[in-house]
Amino acid sequence: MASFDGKEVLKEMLEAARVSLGDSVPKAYEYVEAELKKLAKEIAKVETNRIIGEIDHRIAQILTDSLINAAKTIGLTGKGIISVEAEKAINAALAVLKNAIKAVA
Amino acid sequence: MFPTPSILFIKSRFLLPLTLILLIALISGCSIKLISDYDELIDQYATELQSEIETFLIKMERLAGTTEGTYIKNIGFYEEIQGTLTTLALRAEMLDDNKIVAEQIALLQKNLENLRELHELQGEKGLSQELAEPMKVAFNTQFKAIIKLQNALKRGVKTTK
Repeated sequence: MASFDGKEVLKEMLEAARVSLGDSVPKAYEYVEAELKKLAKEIAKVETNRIIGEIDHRIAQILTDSLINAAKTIGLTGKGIISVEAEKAINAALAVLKNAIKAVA
Repeated sequence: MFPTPSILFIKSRFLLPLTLILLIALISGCSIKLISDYDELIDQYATELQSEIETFLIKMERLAGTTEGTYIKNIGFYEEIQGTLTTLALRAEMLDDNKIVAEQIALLQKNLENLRELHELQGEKGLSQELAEPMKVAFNTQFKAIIKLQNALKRGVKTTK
């Protein structure tokens, strides 16, 4: 029966997880950052319109609240994408472990 | 009182293989799921609603200051969209591990209510560009985010319809 090298298997599991993740997390971060910048610009425009009297305080409040809700939605997408990628990475690592154990058995 | 040599022999010979077999059985049936699957209905509705709300806002901006552009004349639109969002919210809540999507839809519902309130507050003025433009940005951002997440959830073969 072949021996089970725990250290080697762990190294392979981590590599499988790393390959699975690829550049998906940085890409998710880029998306979130780009969208939040757009919303920040829009919030600034709303504030400018309030200051120059184009819209009143209550209207500005509602508009800003809506843009903040949009920002929260983006955050949820970022969180969701990371959950998907984490799931794939963990399952890739588990597959390596399963194969390693099968090879020994 | 003490285990006989034959029992000890059996234990030492078969313990490791047995443990490995149990581990394989455990791990082979085991994969992690952290979030729900892709939902075609949610994806489809999000795309349709984005188009309907965008079209409505463009039209209201054009009709701002006219009777046709007032909240009273457009209550039906809000009722219709509210109904669709309620259906979506119920669907999202029904699916397993779908809390993130359910929260996204709840935020859409809040923004629809914000839009409704804005429109009502404006009375005869209707939805001018200063109001319509930020709301278009908010809604488009939300729908884009929802659809983007749904695309990410298409990670396996299984989908919910």
